[in-house]
Amino acid sequence: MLSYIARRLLVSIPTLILVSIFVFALQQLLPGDPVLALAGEDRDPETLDRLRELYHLNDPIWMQYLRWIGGVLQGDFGQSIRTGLPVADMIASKLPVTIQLAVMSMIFAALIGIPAGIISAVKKGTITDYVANIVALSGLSLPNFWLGIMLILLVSVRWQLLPASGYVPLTEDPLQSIRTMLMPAFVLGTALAASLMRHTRSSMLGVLRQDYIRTARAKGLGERTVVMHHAFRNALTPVVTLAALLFGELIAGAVLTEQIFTIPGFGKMVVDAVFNRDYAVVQGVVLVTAMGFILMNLVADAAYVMLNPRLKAG
Amino acid sequence: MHSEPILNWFTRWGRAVTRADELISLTDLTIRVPGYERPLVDGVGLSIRRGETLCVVGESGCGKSLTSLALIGLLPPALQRGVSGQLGFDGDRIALDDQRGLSRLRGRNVGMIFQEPMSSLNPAHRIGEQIAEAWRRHNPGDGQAQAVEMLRRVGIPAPERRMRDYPHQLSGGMRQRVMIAMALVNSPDLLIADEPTTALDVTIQAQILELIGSLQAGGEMGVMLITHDLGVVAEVATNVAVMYAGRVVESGPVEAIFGDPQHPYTIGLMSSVPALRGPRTRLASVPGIVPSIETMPPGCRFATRCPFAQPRCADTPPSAEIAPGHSVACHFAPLDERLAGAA
Repeated sequence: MLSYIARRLLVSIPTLILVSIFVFALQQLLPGDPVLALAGEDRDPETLDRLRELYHLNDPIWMQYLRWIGGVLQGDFGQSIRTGLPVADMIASKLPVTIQLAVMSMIFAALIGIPAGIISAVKKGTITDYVANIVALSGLSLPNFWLGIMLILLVSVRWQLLPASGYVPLTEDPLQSIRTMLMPAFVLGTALAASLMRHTRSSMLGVLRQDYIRTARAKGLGERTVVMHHAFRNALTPVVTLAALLFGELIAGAVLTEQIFTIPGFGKMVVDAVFNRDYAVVQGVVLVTAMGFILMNLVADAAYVMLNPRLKAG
Repeated sequence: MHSEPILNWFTRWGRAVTRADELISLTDLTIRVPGYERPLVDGVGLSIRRGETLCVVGESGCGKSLTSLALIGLLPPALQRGVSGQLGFDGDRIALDDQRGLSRLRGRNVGMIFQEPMSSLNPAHRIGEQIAEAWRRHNPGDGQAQAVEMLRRVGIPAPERRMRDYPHQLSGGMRQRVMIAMALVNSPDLLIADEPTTALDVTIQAQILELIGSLQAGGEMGVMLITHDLGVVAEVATNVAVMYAGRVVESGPVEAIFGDPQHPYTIGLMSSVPALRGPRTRLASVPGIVPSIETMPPGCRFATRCPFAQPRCADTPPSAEIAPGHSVACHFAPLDERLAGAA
């Protein structure tokens, strides 16, 4: 198992290098000049040249890349052109926010999606199944911004139960922190719950047809044990894989949801950075996101192996 | 691996039955499918006494497996809704549409093994756990000791170590042994074996049949063995029920079925077995195919393939007992010499 993970980690290195090259190249291809954006109204050629020199923008591209990647390897993602702050610090301050939001969303998604999927598979073809499917479809189709605004209107404005926006760090006041994140996590979670539910349902339907389910029934086991212990255990693999990949997407940020609830997370930072042509920030964020994705893929693969005795031995 | 020599096994299977009390009796099992006039399984009756082996034989699709699944309430839901009939079990009477009543028998009074050992074990759980779970469901204790003991009894070497194996680590024959251990861990009154050897190599087939026989010997367990292998029937059966297109057409002691078959279908089935001795002739077969649920004729369901069919075969023939324990569902039973000769 450990050697498997080590092997997978090695394989992901070329992927990361490729991603870093793409990220860097993309920035070069984008229209717009960061120096112009930085200089603002005061555009005398001398200032522009000085700024270009300062940020090494006159060097050949490959040198710029090597300088950047060399810094990244030492934990230095460069400085934000906009704020002058180190990008690494900016990311470090946003990452906990985004991870907290992602974890809470995933908990919502799993708590709603997986039981709903199991129930609708067991009750296939009944009213319960149809209702669960319609609810899931609605969850997929409802835009997050609409659901978010509706929740703010009802829960915060009318009933005044939860704060409408803002962010409190988990370390400062855990309870208040969770309270402020409850609604955005729910909004993100419902959309994911729908895909988790559909996957759980189809996976369970496949497993419930297997011969060993009949064997479990022939042993006289109760329906609950048959469904949970024998069927769900085997149906779990694709669901866990999907959940890990969805979690990777959550790390990339939920721009709209973060905007609506004014959460200072990744998504908001990326949007601001793109508008400001803040290359160093965009590059740093995209690279960290890609690493998050690769990590989640690894988690999905590891889970796949752990859940399959056949692979665990080999 | 052989716990007993093969020769002993034959005598044990065929041993005289001393206790003759009836263990199960199935009466009038009928399975209807919505939208079709004629039932899929029609008025099937079977009975098994303690220590006996009943072999249910017939072509694929004749309703053998459906009958066995109906017995323990494990039919697919769509068919389960169309079930009627009665099950007498050790003196109790249970309606075959009474899911709760039948589920109480499963695992404790009735054990079942299936045709596909490769897919009948849960791939995600250790085999020891799968056996112990069957014990725990019906008894106090964790069942670990009982699982080891059962693995030992079904002839799996180093059972303590094998307990921790997953199904994919075992061969087909070994898996079927594990299935048997699982089915018998609660010492059921009845073992239903639905073509337990069809998916196995010939040499393994004999071992598995021998194993079932040895586990039955000395006990009071009844066995219902579903098979289409007449060689197996001749070796292990006490009684035989021949099924055709959802009905039992002939049933009786194995000697009577092999020595004095009465129903034209049974006669055809017997003559389709190749003989090792004697002149080589073209292998006899029953011409035609089993009618499907759409093409099922009224009256005798074998009439479309029967060489002796007459107009009156359009009426359903009653099952008549022509000798003690030997029943035939044919208008012309017992066959007269002339007809028997022609067959």
